[in-house]
Amino acid sequence: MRRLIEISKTGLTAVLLNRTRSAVTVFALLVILVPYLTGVGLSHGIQEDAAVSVRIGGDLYVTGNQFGRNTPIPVSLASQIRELEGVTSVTPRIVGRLTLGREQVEAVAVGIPAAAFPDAVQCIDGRLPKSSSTNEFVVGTSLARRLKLKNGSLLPPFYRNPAGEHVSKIVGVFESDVSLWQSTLMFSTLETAQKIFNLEGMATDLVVHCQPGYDRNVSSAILRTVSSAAGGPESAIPVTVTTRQQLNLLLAASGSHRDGVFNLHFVLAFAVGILAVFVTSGFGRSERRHETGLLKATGWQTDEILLRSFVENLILSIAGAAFSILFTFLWLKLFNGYWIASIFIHGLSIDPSFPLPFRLAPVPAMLAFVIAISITMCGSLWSTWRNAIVPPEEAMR
Amino acid sequence: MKVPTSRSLTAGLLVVSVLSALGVVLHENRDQRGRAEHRVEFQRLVGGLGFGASVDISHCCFCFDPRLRGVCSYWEGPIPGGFFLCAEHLGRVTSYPYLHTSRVTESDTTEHAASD
Repeated sequence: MRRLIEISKTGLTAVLLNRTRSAVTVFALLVILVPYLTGVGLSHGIQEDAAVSVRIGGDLYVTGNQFGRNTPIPVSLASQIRELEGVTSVTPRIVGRLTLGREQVEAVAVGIPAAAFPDAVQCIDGRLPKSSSTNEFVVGTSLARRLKLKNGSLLPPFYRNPAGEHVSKIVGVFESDVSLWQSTLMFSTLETAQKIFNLEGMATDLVVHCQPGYDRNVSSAILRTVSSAAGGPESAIPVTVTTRQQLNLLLAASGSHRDGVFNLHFVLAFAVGILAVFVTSGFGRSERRHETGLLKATGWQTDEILLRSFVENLILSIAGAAFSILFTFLWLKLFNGYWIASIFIHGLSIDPSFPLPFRLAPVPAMLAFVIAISITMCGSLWSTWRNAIVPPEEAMR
Repeated sequence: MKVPTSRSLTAGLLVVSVLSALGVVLHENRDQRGRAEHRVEFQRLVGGLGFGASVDISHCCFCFDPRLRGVCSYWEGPIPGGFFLCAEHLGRVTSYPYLHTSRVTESDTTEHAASD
């Protein structure tokens, strides 16, 4: 046992003797594992935020459906749905795309009836918008930064409406930590959103809240009664109902989908990493072969050389994985994912204006250690064994 | 004498980095619980918005939120790999299948019309 421990200690010495090889191996692990951990961490963070979005959102979302696409739905249907048994509230909502300014900055406009607003909110620096002749908006942090907007800023008319266009006023900015989806938001009342999109009396969806256990019955009732009656018998608008249950299923499926697609990309990176370690651990470096030959010449057995190499690579992989976790944490927390987050999240600027939804779960962290060990062992043990089984004079040649 | 000193330093550095990494993972999983209140308030205000790794709807509404559109705007089903023609589905960190929403069928409408 003592002999094995002594041989193992030489593994640490080997790390220091081959400093270039050690540095290259750790660097190769960093290059592979940092993007991997960043992606997985962001994915978990976004999934947690999405779970909150589904849990707090409506039980049902009712939209119009024509030619296989979602279409606006008359707000008047809300009163019809309210009468159904088990429905507690129906909120018409508008969610639409806007572009602002000469640079055509992308924004997501959201309109909710002012009556549905809570009395006070903590997530806004400013106040909630009101329905008035001036369009009032609460904007997201990215939008505020790009358009240099702050509480009290005025926006010249940016939309077309036959009834006339008005100046818009910024009455608040969302707190940066509420969600990544706030960043390009322009939040307003439903009336303002209807004016902006020139869709009087329409909404993009109706957010329905039901009593517990009633969602399925309400969904069926909406499909049976509301679809055919919408807009009168001559202009019936078929409706689509999205349930919370469907969204939860989607959320559950997103984990396996993500793992499949995302990991597929990194399998390629891992393969390249193995080759990099392969080259630095014997096949590409004559020093490593000479070293193995010398050890054999001084009486070392093949299994002892393999044990030494195993310990050396174990140390390098543990160091590589630990540095990767620390580096990822620093990059995403201290530097808020500068540049790297924009690769993974669509529409994000190089320097995000909000704290990134990032969670480094224990399983991916453990996986980083396993991947690091797999890469270094696959890349080195076989080449070490090949060098160790040949006669010393041949290895040193 | 030089190598043993470096060896101790390296071993020490290794232990410190592993413990720091463990600390980071533990801290991360405790830290996230504090953000919940703001997120809940925001989602309550907007009626539940946002699902995927996208901050706007310029490219793919489905990637932003499947409630806005149940399928990807760039979906080319009959083409092998048609799902990945959308840039947001290639290498992004969130991916989920298409939403199979409940739609009204002709029989539903007929049934309703008959009952009227």
